[in-house]
Amino acid sequence: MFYLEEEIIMSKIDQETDFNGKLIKIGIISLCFAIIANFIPALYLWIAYGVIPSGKDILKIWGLAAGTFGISWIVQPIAYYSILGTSGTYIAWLSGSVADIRLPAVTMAQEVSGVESGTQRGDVMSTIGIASSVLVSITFITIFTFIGSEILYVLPKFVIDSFNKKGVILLSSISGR
Amino acid sequence: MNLKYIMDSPGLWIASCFTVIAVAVQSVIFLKAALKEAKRIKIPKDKYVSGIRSAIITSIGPSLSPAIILISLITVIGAPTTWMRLSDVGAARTELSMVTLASGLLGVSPSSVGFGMKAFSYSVWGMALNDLGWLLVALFLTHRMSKGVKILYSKYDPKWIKLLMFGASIGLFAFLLSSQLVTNTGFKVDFLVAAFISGITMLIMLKLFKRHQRLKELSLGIAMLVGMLVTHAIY
Repeated sequence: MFYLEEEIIMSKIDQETDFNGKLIKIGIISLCFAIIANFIPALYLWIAYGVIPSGKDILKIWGLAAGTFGISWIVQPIAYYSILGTSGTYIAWLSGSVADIRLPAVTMAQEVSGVESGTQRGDVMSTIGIASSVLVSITFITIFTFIGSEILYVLPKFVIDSFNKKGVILLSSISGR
Repeated sequence: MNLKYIMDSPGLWIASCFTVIAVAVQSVIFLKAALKEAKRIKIPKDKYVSGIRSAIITSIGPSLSPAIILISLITVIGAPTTWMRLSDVGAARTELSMVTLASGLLGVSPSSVGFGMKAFSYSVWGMALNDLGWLLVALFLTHRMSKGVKILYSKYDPKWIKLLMFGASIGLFAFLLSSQLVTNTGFKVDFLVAAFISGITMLIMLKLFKRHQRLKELSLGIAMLVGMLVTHAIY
């Protein structure tokens, strides 16, 4: 049933433009805002305390960042696009944790709703999955930041140890699907 | 001027909150738009609601894991900056290495006595400039990729393009998995065992829970736990 519907949707490609166009607009606006927000603490340190790297040093820092992570900046957003979809890409590259949190969330959101990645239904479910997972991670990071190290004393050591294997487990579970 | 005080000062909390707000607000707006679209293209309500539930359940586990590195980041760069940087792009390890690289320009290392106000400012700039890379690429490439895929769909057989996208996804997962298994320090057998156990658990559960939607939503979370605990018991 889903396949049939999918094909009908594909033939109505013009109708999608509206949705995609709207999401692209939201994505661009939110990323522009995020880029400004990204520098506010750095500028705050300058305005409030007068501390700022010299122009030459800022370039040097940028060079270090580009040399170390520059390839990831370009390759990652392209490589993950087929799963994340258009709007998913906008959300995922602002909130990060793409491989370890966003991908599993997308995969499960698409799996349980029976849609395929790379299609319009897939895109919609991927957006829903990613956005929900971002709200979860923001909540946790905020809680952790405020209660700090307290929680670590509560967890048994072997639970903490097994977190080290988290990455590999996640990926193989998804691949298993 | 006490650096520790500045790192946790109310001013820096306020300066750092904009990014977190941007991330949260963006997600809410996209979620709303996508739900509206889901209704329009007639994805059944129970399907997308269970999608949301499953995404939430699945992301709880991996969201817990930064807790450990978060603590060490707080001791190096203070709570507000950690809060902001872990909420946006750039994993904790990435941020930490940017701090090391940037303060290294001044010849000091993080959490050493020499890590003063200047080194902190260098670090904050380093993390901002690094995250900027992903933000800019996403800003300039996403709509172009979207256009590209649309052209592919209209020019060629949609069935093939769908397979192509699916192939790209499988390739990505295979790459991510193999780069975890084979590292600079060699092949990790225990990681392979973990991969097998959780992969098989996932397969079995998806088969078993085929007719039990609610259980299916839990399967990735359970597969991860089984993989973690069983591997830990073996090694």
